[in-house]
Amino acid sequence: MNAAKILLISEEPNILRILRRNLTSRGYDVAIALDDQEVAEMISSDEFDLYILDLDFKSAKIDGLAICCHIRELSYAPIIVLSTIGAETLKIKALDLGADDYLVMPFAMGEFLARVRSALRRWATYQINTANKNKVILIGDLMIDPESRLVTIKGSEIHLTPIEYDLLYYLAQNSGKVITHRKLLQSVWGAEYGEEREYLRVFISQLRRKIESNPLRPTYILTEPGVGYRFARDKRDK
Amino acid sequence: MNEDPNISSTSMKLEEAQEEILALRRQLDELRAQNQAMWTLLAEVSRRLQTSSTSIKAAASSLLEHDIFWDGSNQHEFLEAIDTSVDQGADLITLMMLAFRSEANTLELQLEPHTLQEILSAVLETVAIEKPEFNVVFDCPPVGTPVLVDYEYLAIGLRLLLDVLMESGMVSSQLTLRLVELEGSWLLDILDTQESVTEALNHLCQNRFDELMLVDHISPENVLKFFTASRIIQLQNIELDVQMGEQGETSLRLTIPTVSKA
Repeated sequence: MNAAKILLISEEPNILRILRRNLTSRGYDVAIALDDQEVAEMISSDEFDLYILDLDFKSAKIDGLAICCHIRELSYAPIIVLSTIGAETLKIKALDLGADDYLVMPFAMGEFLARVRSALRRWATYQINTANKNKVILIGDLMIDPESRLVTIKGSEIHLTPIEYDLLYYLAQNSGKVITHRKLLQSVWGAEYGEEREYLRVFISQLRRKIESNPLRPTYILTEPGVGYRFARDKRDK
Repeated sequence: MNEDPNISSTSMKLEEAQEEILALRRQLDELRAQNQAMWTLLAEVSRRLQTSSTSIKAAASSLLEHDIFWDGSNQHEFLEAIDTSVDQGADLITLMMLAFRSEANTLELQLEPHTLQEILSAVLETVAIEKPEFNVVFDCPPVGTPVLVDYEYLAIGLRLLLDVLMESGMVSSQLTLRLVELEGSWLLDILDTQESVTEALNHLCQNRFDELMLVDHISPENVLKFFTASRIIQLQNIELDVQMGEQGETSLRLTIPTVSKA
């Protein structure tokens, strides 16, 4: 596994030196930006898993808050802001501009490192979720491509209505798990739904007719009596 | 029809009073702005102190972390960071103490006759060691009338002034100090200064420390040095102003009264 890439942005050489030494010693890949030019170059040319920004960065051209804003325009990666000022208004401003965490100086190294680990955990989870979201699902003869909303069975395209597609995609994404009627209704139709089981009966029946070779003996969308539905993890899963 | 002289006189007095009120309001606004500028400076200086304490805390707590073994070179690096951060913090605190004492007029100055050449030579010797990247030329007559100053504090004031000029880009790498004796005073011209020195000195004279930081881009440490240097110099009856040459060149001038005049 590659080491997480971290960009440290500060004008204070001592702080940079200490943070970098601590992070590199724990296996992180650390880059630093000390001035306007380095900040501009680094944040636009490279991708980082975490940005650590000294909010007191105050050069003639750009300040810490503007850098925070600029990073957020280019990346979803977490930003930990460091500041000598613990005022609530500044914290709110920084968080509203895209910071994920705010650490008031001075701080102990243990706390700083714990926040780094926490931010990187969240980032890893986000990346996995994003990757899964766009991943093509292949179960048995069924293929679902979320990017094009294309569904095929044995290579032949199946035409689905938007609701049928959303229902199939949600079930397939959670294949192997039992999804309750309420959960399914809320996830596909919306939070205000939950009691409309007849919707499910109608749409599941339509879906089965389109994707199952024998809708009366389904192998993909399985009924869990009295509870909900389960999408088979693979065709042997029935 | 002639106007009643009493009414005319009252009306004039009213106008004068209104003008006075307006002038007082302007003064009050100016004082408020200066006061705010002073707090802005103190906030910035405090932030610098907090930054130093952050480095110290971060380095010390790194050494205390148990999950990692720091070898000798890493330990040395952390200790060095602590050492330099303590120095930075202590320098700033010393400067603040000097600034506040000079502003409160509690500096105990020992005004005694000294020769400027001796004081300046000592100051420039230190500058040459600490800032070797600057070429400083000292142009002065070998002898002259003594001045009534506090040797130590004048040296501190001049040192701080030269520091600010050198560190904030108000002089290029070449700097000339020219000392000329006139009747009753010495003129010390610091030549090769940039135009920015005029604006900075104006802001300093008006106590606009916020402008010095925001407009002149002088760091809080250097603003504090500039302020302290000017107060220490002025406490010894020395005038500080900017001179414009015929070619448009600027110089910072100190007018130092000689013993007889002082």
